[in-house]
Parts: sequence; C-alpha cells; structure tokens
Amino acid sequence: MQGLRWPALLASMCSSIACLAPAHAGANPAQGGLEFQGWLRADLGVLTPLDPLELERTEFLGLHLLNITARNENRAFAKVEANLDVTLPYGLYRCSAGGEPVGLELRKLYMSLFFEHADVSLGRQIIHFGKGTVLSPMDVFTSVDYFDLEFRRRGTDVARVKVAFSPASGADLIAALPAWPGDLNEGSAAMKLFTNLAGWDLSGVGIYRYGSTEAVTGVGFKGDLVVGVHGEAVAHVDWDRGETAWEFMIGADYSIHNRWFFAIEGLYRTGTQTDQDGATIAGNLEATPSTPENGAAPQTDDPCAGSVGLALPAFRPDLFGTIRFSVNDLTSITAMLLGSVQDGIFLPTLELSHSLFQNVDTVFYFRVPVTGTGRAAPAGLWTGLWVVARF
Amino acid sequence: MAPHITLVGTLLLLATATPAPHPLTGEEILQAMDRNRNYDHIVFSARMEIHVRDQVRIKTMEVKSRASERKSVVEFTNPEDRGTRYLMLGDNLWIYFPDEDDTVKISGHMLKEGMMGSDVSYEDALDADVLADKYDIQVVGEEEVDGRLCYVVELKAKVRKVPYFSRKIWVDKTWFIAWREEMYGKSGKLLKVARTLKVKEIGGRYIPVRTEVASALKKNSRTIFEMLNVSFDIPVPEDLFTQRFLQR
Repeated sequence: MQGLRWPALLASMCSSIACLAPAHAGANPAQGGLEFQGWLRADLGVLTPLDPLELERTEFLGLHLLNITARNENRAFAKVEANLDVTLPYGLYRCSAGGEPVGLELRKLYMSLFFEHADVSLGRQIIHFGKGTVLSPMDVFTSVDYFDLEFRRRGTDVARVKVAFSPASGADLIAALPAWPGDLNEGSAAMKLFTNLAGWDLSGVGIYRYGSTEAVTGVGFKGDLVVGVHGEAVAHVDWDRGETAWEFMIGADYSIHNRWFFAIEGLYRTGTQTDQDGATIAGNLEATPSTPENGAAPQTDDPCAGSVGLALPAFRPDLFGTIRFSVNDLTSITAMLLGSVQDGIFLPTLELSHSLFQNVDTVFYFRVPVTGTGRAAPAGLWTGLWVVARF
Repeated sequence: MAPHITLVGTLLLLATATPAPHPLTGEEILQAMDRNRNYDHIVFSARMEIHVRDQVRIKTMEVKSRASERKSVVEFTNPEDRGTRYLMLGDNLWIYFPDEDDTVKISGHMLKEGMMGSDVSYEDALDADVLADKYDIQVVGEEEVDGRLCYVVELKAKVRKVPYFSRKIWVDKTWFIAWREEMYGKSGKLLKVARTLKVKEIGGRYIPVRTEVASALKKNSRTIFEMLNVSFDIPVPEDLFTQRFLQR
C-alpha cells in the first residue's frame, strides 16, 4: 500500500507550497517559513540467553534514530508537514532490518488546505481512529510498532476530508491511495463520525475495501466511571461467505495520588479476519502486524540467528497493561505487559525513566519474551538503555 | 478551587476587588473572588518551572481563553513539547499529540495527573467553577501572611465532583486574591500548598502573575507558574476552541 510514487508526488507538491511561504522566518516567526523540530534517540542493549550455559551467545543490538519534523509556521490557511525517521541499526537490529546499514521511513508527508467548513488533506498521514492506546480494532489505517517503547505508529497514504459539526463533533472521510497508477482495488474508503455527549467521546466508523467483499464497521467510546474507561466493538462482515467476525476491546485507567498510574486494555476476537490475500489480520487493513512474521526456530548457521525479528513467533496482541510509579516529576518506574492470551506469548517490560536534563531523557529497560508450552523458546533477556534528546 | 494554579480563569480569580467596608461573610468573600472573573477573553504566554530537588525543567506555552464560557486552548512552545495542544471545553479536556496526530480525551483519575510532569493537575486546570456553588464556607479568622493581611476561610465540599474535598484559603483583604491555599483530600491529608509570589496590575486588575504550587505528597517538588504578556478582552476566534483546530 505504501507506494513509492505518492510520496514522491507529495514531496514535490509540499516543497512547492513550502517555497511559497516567506523564507525569512527569523524576522517574524509568525508570518511564514518552515519550523523544524525533532529528536535523536540512541538505543543500546544486549540480548542475553536465558540459559546460563549459553551466555557466550550474548548479542549486541543498537539503534540510533533521528526523527525530524518540518511544517510551515503560518497555518492559517494550509499546512504542509513532513516527518522522517532516519535509523542506523547495529548488531541484531541490523539483522532485523535485513542488513541495511541505514533505514529511512517517511512517516508523514502531506498537505492540508483549510476551508470554512472542511479541511482537505492529501498524502501520508497517521490516521488514529480508535480509542485504545495499543489495542484498537477501529484503527484500520495505522499499525503500531509493538517493539517500540512508545508504541509509535506508521503513516498511510490517504486523501482525507475533515468536517466539523460542532467544537467536539464532526466527520472524518478517508480514501486510502493505491500505489499510483496501480489497481484501484488496492484502496479503501472509510468514514468516522464522532461527537461528545454528556462528557463521553463517541465515534462510529465504516470501512469498505475496494475489490473485496468485506466491510468493517465499528463503534467506540471513552469516558468517565470513576475510572476512565474506553472501548470499541468492530464487526468484519464478509457477505460472500456470509460470515461476520467481531472484535471487542475494553480498557480502563486509574491513578492514586498522582503517584500510581494503572492502565489496562483487553481485546477479544470471534471468528477470523483475513486480508485480500487470505492472510489473517488483526484489524489493520493497511499494514501487516508489527510483530515478526517468522516463527521458525533460528538456524544456527545464520549470522542473524536470534535476531530481534526472530526472537518471537508472530503474535497478535490481545492484552496490554501498565503500572507506573512516579518517584518524582523526573523519575518513574513502569511495569508493562503486552501479550496474546490466544497465542500464549507475552512480552513483559520493566522501565526506569529519568529526565537527565532539560529536553534529555533516559530509559533503562528489561524485556523478556515469555512463551507458552509448545511454542519456540524465547531468545533471551533484552537489557537496553535509551537516551533521547529533543530539539 | 485552586484559583492560583489554574491556567486561565482561576488565575484571574485572584484579581483585585474594592476593599470591604465591613466584615464579610465567607460567601461574600468568595463571591468577591469569583466576581474577579468578570472578563470574557484573555490571551497570555506562560512559563512553568518544575522544580525537583536541585533540578529545574522549563515549559512554555501560549494560552487563549474565553474564560466566561470556560473554553481554553493551550499550545506548548518549548522544544520538548512543541505543538502539543490542550483543548478545554467546560469539564472536558482533550490533548493533541502532534507526532502521532492523536487527540486523546483525558478522563477519570488521569485528570489528577500533573500537567506535563508538573504539580498542577489537569483537574486543577479545569477547575473554574464558582467556589460558592461547590463548597460550604466558613471564615475562621484573619492572619498576616508574608506581609499581607488575609481572611482565613475554610471550604468543605458540598458536591461530589470537586478536585479537593476541603480547602483553606488565605484571601488578601485588599485585593481579594488567594494569597495562600492548602488543599486536602477526603481523608484530611494535605495534598498541595499554593501561594502567590508576585502580583501585577494589568488593565486595572491585580493579577497574581507568579504563583507556586507544591505537592505535599512528593518531597522537594514544586512548580512555579508565571503569566507573561497578559491581554484582556482581545477577541479570541470561536473556531480555536474546536477539535478541528487542534490538528492544524
């Protein structure tokens, strides 16, 4: 779906529009020009076998990630925005990246025009339909990177129209762009309606995929019942086969004295959803699940054996929970669990986060995959140190 | 009510009023404080210093509000949080995270979480209701605090939906601003202490432009909130207070 030609086309259009804006932003920042921001993250770690007799197989893994965002400063009438990830993977991360020394991912590149009653956008954008933090069956256009500690999302090439009915309600119309001039059957169309009633955020979505016999429809809510609660119900209807598969997600969050924070999400599926090629999907139409596809046991003569990408069998998360203790406003400890009860795979993570300086944070983390009986043994214990500097 | 720690309306609740010629009841004192919110639009920049032990983190923001309608938009401008926006409509709060293009409703107990890691909670920022509507008030005396003569009033919640079960406010007798305030939970435990550090006359009003909030639950943790470039009644367009604007 992420055809190469749309980004190229959009890059040309966006750069043209950006050039129309005055370049002398420093003279009067509110008047025009581009503004830049971003962050640089270093993620260094080791993957240690759980078996003490195999400690010599301890592997190094590292990832430097530069994220840059550029957008026009004066967004009274239009917006152009680009967001780019440049990655330098080392060790096992490089194996996971197919051995490529440098990775580029254009997460966003789009332009929007703001009219009185609607905002029209074209290009690669992050479409967040759902209410869930991680498990969100309504999020049909975005995929979550489950290995990222921040659960970042990837962009999708779409044409989008946003219409506001009131300050907190409106419609979001989306057509996913095929890899132009490819087959229109690759695209999807979706509509989301949202509103706020009595303090509750409510939304409904409908998605249709060209060239398929499947439609997806769902509803979501987020509100307050002493604890914060959110949920989604999504139906995948295949009228050719006369089958309907359901996905239900429910989540809650709670805090105690601004010190303890709890959040949990659970997902339950009935039936099986498939993509156009017949492959099982987790509700994300546009992207494959972010967990590794390859569940085969690593080959010992493979230099990338035991790489992060092979460390876990493929799984579709259906359980997510966090407990965070705020030591003070600079330091916190978080225990996090992501897993699949259905597949018998869990990924617990323990994080110690600390703000080192203004705009510089660090996270020291442990992560060890846990698999059920009959599954391939987990590769080992991840121990990592994350440092991120923002600018 | 935490008049000195809210971002918009409640900060200005601390503005001046005419000195009272006779002893006032608790209701009259709070009504005098509430009357200070008689403005429609306000625009200001703000700087938040988060102090933890010997370390300081700075957050900066632009605030636009139609305070009488309880509508506010806050946009953070410091590098770490640049582009993050808050939309407050009455009791509802949404946060827009630009990196993920995600608008999230903050609800439930997460409203008690500190804004951007500060000692000021989201709930504090939303707390702009009339104090007299939510609390029973009792004047317990007069005290001098940091050189200012104050009424001492105690507030006990008479409705369930309040951020603090009880409060003790030292109200400046001349300006009718909260010079100092202690906020308590239902168990009687002290949760926060706030005090005004600097007052400035702007447009005929006395505004507490520098206030401090300290958490009683966290050791050596306090936040200083400073208002800069305050302008009253400059018309703020209605369409700023929409989810659509958040994503622009």
